[in-house]
Amino acid sequence: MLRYVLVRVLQFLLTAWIASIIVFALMQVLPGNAAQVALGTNATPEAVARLEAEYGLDRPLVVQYLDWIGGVVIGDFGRSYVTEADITPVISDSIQVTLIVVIASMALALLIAVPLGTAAAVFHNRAAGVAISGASQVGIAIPNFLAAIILVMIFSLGLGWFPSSGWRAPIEGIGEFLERLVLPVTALALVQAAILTRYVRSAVLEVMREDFLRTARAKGLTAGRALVKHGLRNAAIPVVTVAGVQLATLLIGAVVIEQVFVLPGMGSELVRAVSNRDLLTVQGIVMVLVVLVLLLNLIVDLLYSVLDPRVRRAA
Amino acid sequence: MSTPHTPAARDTANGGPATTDSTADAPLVAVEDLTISAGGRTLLHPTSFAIGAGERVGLIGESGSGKSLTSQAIMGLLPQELTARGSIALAGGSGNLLQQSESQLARLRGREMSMVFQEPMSALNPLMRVGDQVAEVMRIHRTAGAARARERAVELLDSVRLPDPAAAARAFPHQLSGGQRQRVMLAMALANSPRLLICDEPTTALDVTVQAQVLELIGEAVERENTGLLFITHDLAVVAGVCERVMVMYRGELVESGTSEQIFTDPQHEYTRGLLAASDLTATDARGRLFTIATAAQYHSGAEAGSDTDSDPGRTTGAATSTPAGEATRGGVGTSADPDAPLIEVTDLVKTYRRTKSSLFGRADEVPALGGISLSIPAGRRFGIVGESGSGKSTLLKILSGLDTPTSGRVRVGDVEVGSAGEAELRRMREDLQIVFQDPFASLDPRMRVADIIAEPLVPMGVAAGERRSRVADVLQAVGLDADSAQRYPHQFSGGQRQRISIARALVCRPRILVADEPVSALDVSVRAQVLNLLTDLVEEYALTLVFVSHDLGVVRHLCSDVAVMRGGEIVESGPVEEIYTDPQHPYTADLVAATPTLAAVFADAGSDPRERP
Repeated sequence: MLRYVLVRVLQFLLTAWIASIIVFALMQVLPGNAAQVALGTNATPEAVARLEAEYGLDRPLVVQYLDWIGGVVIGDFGRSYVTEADITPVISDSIQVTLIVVIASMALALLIAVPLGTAAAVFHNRAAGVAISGASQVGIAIPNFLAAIILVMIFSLGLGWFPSSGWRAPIEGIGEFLERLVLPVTALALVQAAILTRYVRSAVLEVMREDFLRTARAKGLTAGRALVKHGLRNAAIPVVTVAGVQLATLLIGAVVIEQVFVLPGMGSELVRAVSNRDLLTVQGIVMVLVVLVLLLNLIVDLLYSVLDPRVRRAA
Repeated sequence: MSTPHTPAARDTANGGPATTDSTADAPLVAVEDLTISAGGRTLLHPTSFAIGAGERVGLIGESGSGKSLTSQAIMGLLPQELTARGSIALAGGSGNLLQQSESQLARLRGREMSMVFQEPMSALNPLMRVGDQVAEVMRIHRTAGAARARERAVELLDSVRLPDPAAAARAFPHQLSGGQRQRVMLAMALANSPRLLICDEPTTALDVTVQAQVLELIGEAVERENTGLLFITHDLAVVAGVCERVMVMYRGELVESGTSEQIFTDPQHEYTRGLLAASDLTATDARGRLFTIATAAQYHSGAEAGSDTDSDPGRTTGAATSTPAGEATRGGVGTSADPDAPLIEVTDLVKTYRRTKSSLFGRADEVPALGGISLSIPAGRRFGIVGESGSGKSTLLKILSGLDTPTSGRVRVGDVEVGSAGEAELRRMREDLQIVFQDPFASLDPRMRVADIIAEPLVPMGVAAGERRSRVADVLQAVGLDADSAQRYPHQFSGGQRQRISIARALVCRPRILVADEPVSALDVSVRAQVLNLLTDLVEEYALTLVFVSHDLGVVRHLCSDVAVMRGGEIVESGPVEEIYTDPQHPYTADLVAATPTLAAVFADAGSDPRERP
């Protein structure tokens, strides 16, 4: 078990390191160097050279890479060539917003999908089950930005229940924080819930056919209790796989949703950095997004071994 | 069996011919006019029977005969889409079980009546510790508190003779073997001392030696607790060893019922007679073929044929036919350089598998599958390989057919060195050597027409389309299938027919060697006899060398001229089949022979209940 965790963590570190090289290399292959991009097309060669010297962009690439990654490891993403401010606070502020939105969305999506998917499986040959399947089909087809706009039109502009945009940190008032969170989280969660409902449904249908569920009933559990006690944890295994992959797409989905609701998350910062031609900030944010996705995958892998004893031994 | 009998058990066992009358005062279970249907289709026609307290009743029949449906109906576990009518009453219970709600039935399941299922590998929850699963059945019915239930679980695991029961209780199902899991199922079923135990093919998926142990365990437990037993199986020999009364089901109807003695010595129904004849692997007709349901009329009643099995004339006929077939072959296809050299030769064959690495830096574990075996098979012989799961017989077969490579050692088939052969040589070898696999349901591509399945081996050989069609028609006829089968798909055929298709596919490129991997172990007894007869016919007609892998010593004894007994990657004993069978030299072979339930043993005891006569 400990060995399994160790192997997975090592794999994570290795992948993250390779990813950092790729991210760094990608920024280098863009036309012009960072100083030139930052100063724009009208910059004099002298100005570019001065900026290069100031930020060490005239050094060999390997040295620049090591300098950058060395900083990233201790949480220092460097200083922006454009705003001349430290990048680290930008990332650490925006990552909180994004993570809150993503995790809340996934939690909400699972809260909707698990009971709905289970019901769809249990009543699969009845009207209720068919209706749930149909609704989830529709849900999958709606892009989350469209869902966001529709939600804003109904609940913000129409009914006036929630603000249409903006962000309050929890310490500034928990009520205001939650109020502004409802619509973006719901917009992201609805589509996820639709996708997950389908997976939960097929996982539960699969598990309902298992012999051990029949054994559980033969032991004296009713069909319903057998499903809850023995079925759902088994059904959770394939669902966790999908949810893990979906978390990564949620992270990307959040970039778009943050634009719609004007949230100061990583997506907004990324878009701003790109339009400011702030390459080092872009590089930092992309690196953090990559590490987050890898980290989520690591957590899913470790979750497997908690759920499934067979994985523990196989490792 | 020398254990003292409880008076109740003795009473019912000695009940005589009219067994149902002996349980006159309120039987444990009374089934009346039970009818099961799906939509408009009747799967089980009105069926009535009763099981007395402590009575051991066998229910036999082939797949689809309705025996499992009957047991599911009693347990209240019928699939939702089926409807059951009639009545099922449990002694001291509250009326008709068929009219009770799921929660009422759940209170009875695992407490008053419990069940052991066929497939031990999937019947336990893979995510839950074994001890917890056993304890759960006591927690559900509140027959023990949490701590006491855990203790009892270990005691129960001990009582089904799991070595180190405390460790077994902490294990997850995947850490146990099939036999061990079936013991766990039994421990679970017995936890609340139910009055009725239903076993649905509990040993069908197990190795013979394990089967013998589990059967003994069931017998003991039932006797100790005076539990009524409904034992479902397709294996007549097994049922005869366990049950005192037998019911026979055929196509959704209970066609015959009586004491084990009656059923085995004086079967009344045509189907029972056929089943009995087809089950008897030691009896053959004038041509040396096994009896089938169709030819059962010529089969003399079990008691006569079996009372002196070893000098049974049918057996000698069977043995005699194999010799001419062998002689003919040796002259017929002597294409290899040296005609006297064995057609297949295996020398010091070693195969080691690497388990996936358990750590990033540690060494991979090596698991030996074959530990240096040698054997030679002359052309025209019918060579049986017998062993239990994990004996290495499947690995040997894979290497022999070029589907896997040896770690060391040599394998020669004809003039091809299989271990070092290139793709082209292997392809040439496969024209000579073809395989029939175990599972007729999984080994045929469901989206291909039968004609295409059978013709497939001919495509790489460059046989023209017209020629392929005519060869397909030929082999279809040879395996006894209609010509119009060619345009149909595998799912339209029964298990036995699909195995015929597999055989046709193997024979279409006219191989010299036919390798069969447990080809009849998934088939019903009556179908098994037909397929074995077909194999015998084809081996003679096509002058084939047969390599036949099986866990069933009886089948190998009937079909093969020679046998090698494998265990743990070694050949423990090999030689002419009759010699090995009647005079085994290795203790494992002797165990295997002794553990295999045979009708001959049943007949030897015929006229006496094996449990009652010391």
